[in-house]
Amino acid sequence: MSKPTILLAAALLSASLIGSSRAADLTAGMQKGTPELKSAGPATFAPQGILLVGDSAGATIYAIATGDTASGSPRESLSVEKIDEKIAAMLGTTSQQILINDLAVNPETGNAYLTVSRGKGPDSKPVIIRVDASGKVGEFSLKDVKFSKAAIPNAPAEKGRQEVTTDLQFTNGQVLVAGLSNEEFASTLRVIPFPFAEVDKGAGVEIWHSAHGKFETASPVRTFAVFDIGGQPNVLAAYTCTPLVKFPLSDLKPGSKVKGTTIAELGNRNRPLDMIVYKKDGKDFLLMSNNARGVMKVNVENIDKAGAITDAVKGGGTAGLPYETIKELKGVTQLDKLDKDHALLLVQSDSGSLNLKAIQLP
Amino acid sequence: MSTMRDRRWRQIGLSLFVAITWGCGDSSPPPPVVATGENPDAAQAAPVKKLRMRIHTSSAGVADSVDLVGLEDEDLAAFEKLSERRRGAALAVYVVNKDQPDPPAVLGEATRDGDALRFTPRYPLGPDLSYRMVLQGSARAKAGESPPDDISLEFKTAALRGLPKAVVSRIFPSSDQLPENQLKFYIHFSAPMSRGEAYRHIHLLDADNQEIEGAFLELGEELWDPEMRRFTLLCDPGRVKRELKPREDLGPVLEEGKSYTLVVDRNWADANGSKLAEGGRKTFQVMPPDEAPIDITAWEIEPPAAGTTAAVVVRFPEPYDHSLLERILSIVNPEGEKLAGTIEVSDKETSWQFKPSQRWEAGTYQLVAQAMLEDLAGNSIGRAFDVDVFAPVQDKIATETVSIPFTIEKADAKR
Repeated sequence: MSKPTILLAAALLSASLIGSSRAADLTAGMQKGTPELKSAGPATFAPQGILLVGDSAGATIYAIATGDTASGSPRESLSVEKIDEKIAAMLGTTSQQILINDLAVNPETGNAYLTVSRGKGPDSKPVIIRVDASGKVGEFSLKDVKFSKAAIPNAPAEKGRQEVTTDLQFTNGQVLVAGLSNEEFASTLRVIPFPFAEVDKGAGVEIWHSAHGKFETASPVRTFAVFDIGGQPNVLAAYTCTPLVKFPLSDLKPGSKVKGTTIAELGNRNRPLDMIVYKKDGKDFLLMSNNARGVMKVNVENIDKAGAITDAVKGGGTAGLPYETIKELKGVTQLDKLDKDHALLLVQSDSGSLNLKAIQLP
Repeated sequence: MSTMRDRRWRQIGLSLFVAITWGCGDSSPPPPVVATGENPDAAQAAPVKKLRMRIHTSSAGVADSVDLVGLEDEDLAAFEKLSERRRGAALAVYVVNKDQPDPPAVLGEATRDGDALRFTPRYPLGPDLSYRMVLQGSARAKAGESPPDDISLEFKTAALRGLPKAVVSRIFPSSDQLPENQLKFYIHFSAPMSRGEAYRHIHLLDADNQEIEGAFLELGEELWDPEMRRFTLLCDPGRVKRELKPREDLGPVLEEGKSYTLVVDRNWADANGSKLAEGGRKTFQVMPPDEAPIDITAWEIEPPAAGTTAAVVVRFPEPYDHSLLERILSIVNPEGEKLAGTIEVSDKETSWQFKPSQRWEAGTYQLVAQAMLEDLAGNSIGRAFDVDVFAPVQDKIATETVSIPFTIEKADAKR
């Protein structure tokens, strides 16, 4: 099949979020076996129940055919209290000895997948946990699954270097991977065609943003989402140094230097964690969790009209697109879209334990 | 999944509590430990007297599998005939946690092994934890009889002992004078550490010992080397770069002319969960910001004589990033081959030395540096960390490396 055909098929799937018997089988070139993940970090779903997992320790992106099937309708009442303790008990340990690294919902089934580290040291083991729509928690075994993988280029474990995958998304037949090195300070956003080709390792692009029209700085992308603006897919990216920027997906070409347009300044001490885009009452919104301000709802209705922020924002305010803080949502560490009306959150309670709960999209 | 609550235990009243101890510092694995315990209801559960547990530990001192020993032969045989799925349901292990009365079963496999039923957890059992093994009565049921009670045994693994305690071994940069826009610190440890709590244990204090809030970029993933013995700490780039909102609101993390102390507290857990034996402190003065790209024309190369394995020494006008210096500078011989040898970074990261594993031969060599080399403020070769787009824009580096030639002269040509 020609590449344009694959892209078109994937784009159609992505748009509908529903697998189609007429679409190409994205698992077709996969091998069957047990993928040997060294770590399980950021995760997201491609169509047809394919779970994409970033393995920073192994410098690899895995695509795993989960064969996931729906087991009941996703519902707002989905709630698993102290899910960290439940998972830890299954893994024969306590919640102090596990880390929940990411949450990804299969949009075709409403089942949630959590990437987990069993242990916290260099010998920690990656585990994938599945939570179905009824709240049943179980291990998703990697034994004898169909999978494929793509090595992260230029990320050898040379001496002490390690590149951490901070986020990844599937869109339009591509996997976008944001990475950050533990040595050089630079932003790389890799574009890897999917299904993964045998040799094609994707293309790294350098992302810059113009802050207030005066300084251009390379900065790592912390989390991002893909959003249509005027019919064109755009990347909305939150940087580690707080601006929210946009740039057309089509700008991501091998070796290119992409300059994002700053569309919002979200304030100081603001560590973006996760973001999703959704539609409510005919309007588009961005929901973003971050460490300082709880969950922020950004109105992206006029994003195509929003000009770049060109002046420094002073006096403790914010600038750019309007947003509101959802006060009742506190301690949100992970966030994903459950269905068109609901989001699934991983929330840290006052006692420190983690609860999984669904909410109506605000 | 079976849980402790949804199984109505008809416990036989046996409370067998087993403490297994071993020393991890010992290179030889401890022998399997046979459990002993009190059986308060021995009179009514005579067959159970023989029941005991056997723990198998790896050379690393962790519990790989747990045996239930002392069952009747017919019970062992009956268990063996069960399907794999039924065996897993019939023999299970649970973590005992008072805060979680209904834990799910520990993932693992239940098999018969000779005189025992064996539970092999998917992941080794943790140290210093209590567990309960439960064998369902139905697994021992005899035809025509009601099934006997479940067997429930509790045991505890001991804490690992004799482990070396980690200390903070180095903090880079070494200099006690850092630019106002200092970007990175590297904290080195003597042993592997644990992930997930780094930022709680790192503090930046001003000269009055007051903690500076929001000084560092906190990344959930945390930036470690593969061995988890080196942690990369980034100052909040939003407060380092000029005219970004965090800096406008809060000012820069560091202010020129002032003194600060970076503190790593002792409560940071190593990979085994033990706190540090010793934390770390680094006090430094803040100098003016460094906003200039790295200028390689200011480097001084001191070539050694041919026929020796003496080091070539490269001196820099300012300190560079310690980790990058160790990785991305190299020497290429006249044939274009990268030389093997050892690298040493010294003089507070202003000196780089390369000692070849073979003797130098006369000729023209190249010092090759990847353009991504950074100084303490994140400026790289040919590019400042902040680029002022209203000033003449520096051309983007077209190549990823820069080379500086130097000549190794014959020994008799050296004065």
